[in-house]
Amino acid sequence: MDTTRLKTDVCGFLEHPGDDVRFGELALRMFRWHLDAMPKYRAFCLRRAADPSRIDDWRKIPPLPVEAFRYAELSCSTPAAIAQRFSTSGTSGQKDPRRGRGVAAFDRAALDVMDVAIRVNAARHLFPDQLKCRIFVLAPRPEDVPHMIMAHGMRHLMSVFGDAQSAFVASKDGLDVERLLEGLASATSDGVPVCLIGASFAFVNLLDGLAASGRTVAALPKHSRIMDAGGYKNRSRELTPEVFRELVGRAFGVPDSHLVNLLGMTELASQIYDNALSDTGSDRVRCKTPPAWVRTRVVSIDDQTVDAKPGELGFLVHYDLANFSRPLALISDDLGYVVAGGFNITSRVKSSEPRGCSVSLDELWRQA
Amino acid sequence: MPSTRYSPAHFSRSVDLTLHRLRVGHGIPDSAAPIARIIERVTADSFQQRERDRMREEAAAVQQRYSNQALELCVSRIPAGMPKQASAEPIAATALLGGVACRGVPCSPALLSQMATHLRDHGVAALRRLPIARLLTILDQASLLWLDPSYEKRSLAIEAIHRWTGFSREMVIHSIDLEMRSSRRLDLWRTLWTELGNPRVLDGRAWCPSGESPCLAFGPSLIGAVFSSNIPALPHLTYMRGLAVKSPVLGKVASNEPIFAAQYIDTLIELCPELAPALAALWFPGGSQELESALLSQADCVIAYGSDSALQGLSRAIPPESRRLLHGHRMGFGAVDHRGLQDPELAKQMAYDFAVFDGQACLAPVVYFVETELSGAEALAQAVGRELQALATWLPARTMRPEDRAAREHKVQQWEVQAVFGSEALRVVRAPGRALHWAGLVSEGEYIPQQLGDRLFHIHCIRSLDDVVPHVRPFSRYLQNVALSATGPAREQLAVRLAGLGVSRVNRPGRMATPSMMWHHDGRLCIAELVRWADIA
Repeated sequence: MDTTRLKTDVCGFLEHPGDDVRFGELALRMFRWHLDAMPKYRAFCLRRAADPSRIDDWRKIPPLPVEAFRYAELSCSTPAAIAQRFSTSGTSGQKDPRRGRGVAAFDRAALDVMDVAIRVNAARHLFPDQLKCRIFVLAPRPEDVPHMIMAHGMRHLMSVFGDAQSAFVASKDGLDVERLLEGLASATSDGVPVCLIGASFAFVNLLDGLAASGRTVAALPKHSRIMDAGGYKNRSRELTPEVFRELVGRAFGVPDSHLVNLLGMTELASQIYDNALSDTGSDRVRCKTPPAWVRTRVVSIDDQTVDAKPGELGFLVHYDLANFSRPLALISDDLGYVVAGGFNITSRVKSSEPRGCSVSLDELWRQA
Repeated sequence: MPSTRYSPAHFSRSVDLTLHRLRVGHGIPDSAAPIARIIERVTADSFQQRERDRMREEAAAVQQRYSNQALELCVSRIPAGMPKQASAEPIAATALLGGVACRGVPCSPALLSQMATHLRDHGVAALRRLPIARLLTILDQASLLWLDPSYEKRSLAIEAIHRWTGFSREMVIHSIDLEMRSSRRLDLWRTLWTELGNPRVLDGRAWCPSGESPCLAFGPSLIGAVFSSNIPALPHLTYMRGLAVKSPVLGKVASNEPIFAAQYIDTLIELCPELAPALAALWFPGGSQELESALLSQADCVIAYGSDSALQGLSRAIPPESRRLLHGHRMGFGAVDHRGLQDPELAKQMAYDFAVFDGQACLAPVVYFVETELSGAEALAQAVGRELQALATWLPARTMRPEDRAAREHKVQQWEVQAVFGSEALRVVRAPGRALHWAGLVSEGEYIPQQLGDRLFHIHCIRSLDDVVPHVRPFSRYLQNVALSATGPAREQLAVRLAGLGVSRVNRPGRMATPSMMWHHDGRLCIAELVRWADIA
């Protein structure tokens, strides 16, 4: 397998998206390489298809449950050639407390492709107006949290789209609220639009903290935008997306059209933005819109080889060409449904509490 | 009154009641067990075939009867003699399959309090006027009625519970049959005799083997009950226990199965209108503390089923002086030695244990420990899978909400990932084809409990039966029900050790879900623990 050529072709597709045929061709080239280079992944695919190397449609590539990253370092490269290891979030309905977080291993080529993906994707979905912003990230610098993929991605984003005063405004100990407020105030006085980026829970905690001390923030300059990602992970109160946008939009004086939510998974090299900024058509429905090199299928719960009907709840399966030397088809533990132009997430898979006196595994674990 | 019909059908039903009793082993003394087993084996095929045909036919008839008919039911029953209440309103819960609406009398702490007082004042008096023999006859007649496929309430309950809970009609039928078949006159008399020494102590001063002189026994003046929804028709047990000690019962029905209690109360009152002031059922949302306190603070005995966290919440509302029988989370399992593994019936029995009530009962196994290697266990798992497939033709799986189906699929995905990528030796077997009719996990080494149910099963390899105790010891607080297939003294030794650890029932594979009403549920006496004694010299 000529992986240098493949990398060039994939990056070319990222920069200048081709059609579905080209997508499928690249996906299958990558998949065959992955089968050869990752024996365990091949073993998994053999459970799903008699002869995976003969699969001839990208839709038939067996999606790997993201759970797999908890057990194995999945990369085509040897461990020595891994340039960066990121931790998965550890919230995927994990019941066995002795099992730790997962690892997403990136070799140099995978990091390069991811960086292209981050840039092209943000240009399309977060800065479609090609605005230069002052970016504040409510997370520690990548040097401080080398295992956090978001910090890595945001550093790259900042270098491309941010001005010189852009900054990470948290340390490992938490958010530096004073620094953030000073930064916002100076951006306001400079008249520079701000792009505020952080985990959803970080915004909620920030605003709850400010409200508790009776402080408010001045409305951000025109064209400012806010991007949240990652949900709550039990680290703040949980809000519905609508309530979250209402809260954050009001606090920072940012219109709903400039509040963007991002689906980011450490297991995927690409992020999936919602269409708030990228789709300005009047009849748009808010939804997640994968970039051209990512195909997200919502598959039927009962038969994951077929698509769910429109509006029907299903598992999300992502096919990501930017997962270069890592499995490209992943089935996540999010549930969602298809809408015109993309999809929406409703919830994570979680087992319902057993009723009555049948046993609950959680109770057993607490007891053991 | 139930009609006594000596038709061939009636005769065949009576024969099958007896054969059922042999199969579940209720009241069969040890000395008769070998002969019972022979009869059971000889009759097994034809009996099972009749049972399956009957259930399928009845399910089809019920479906036909109510097709295109929306059902509406009131789930509350107010005791006779109480002032007229506000009209019933739709309850805040919906049917999983649609097609049935449930209404309930709106509850308030004042109503609960008023009702409790009424049940205590009028219900106790009404029950004490009835001799225990009469009460047990009524309960027996109620069981017989509920076993009769032509009984209208049975058909209605089957259809309504099916639509509300998603359990298959066949499973509801099976559940009602199991409950009622073990609630016959003989079972009741035997329980009262063995637990009280003499049932007539409930009628008046009478001789009794315990106590210092002839004595009297009184049931609680009010049993407050909180029902769960995991087994259809389960509330009947609590009403039956209440009446068997002449106690009024005020039951709070579960949002996920609110239907059965009221129907059963109606049967009892039809059979004996004097019971009307003593029986009540209400619905209010689970977790409403004010209402729960109002219910539980008035009862001098509380019987509740639910999760440990739900029971903890209830516990706080029970006055310290009240008796309580709280049935929380339990863990059942099976253990089979290498000779048990040779039994050609084993896979079928295991499949039944895992599948019955779709694995929702506390009685359900969370694992079968089997004395074999991984490959032997995998072969057994395939066989269990085939049996589950066969079993689904007469006990179809329940319908689940999409989120629950997703969780189940996800669970099996996790197993598969673990089998391929994990370090432990694991095998995963699953139904052929894309739909996940069943799936099984086969493991060895350290035992890690799995959330099962809904035709998922777990087989864990052991080197010898001695491994069982260390595997389950960490969960001893939850142990309850065990199926044990082993031969010779090893069986009894292990059974005794498990009992010492907390297990309250050891039976054989295939019987996990069918305890009699006489069993020591959670290791306790189901009648004796309810009564208060007075020795009268």
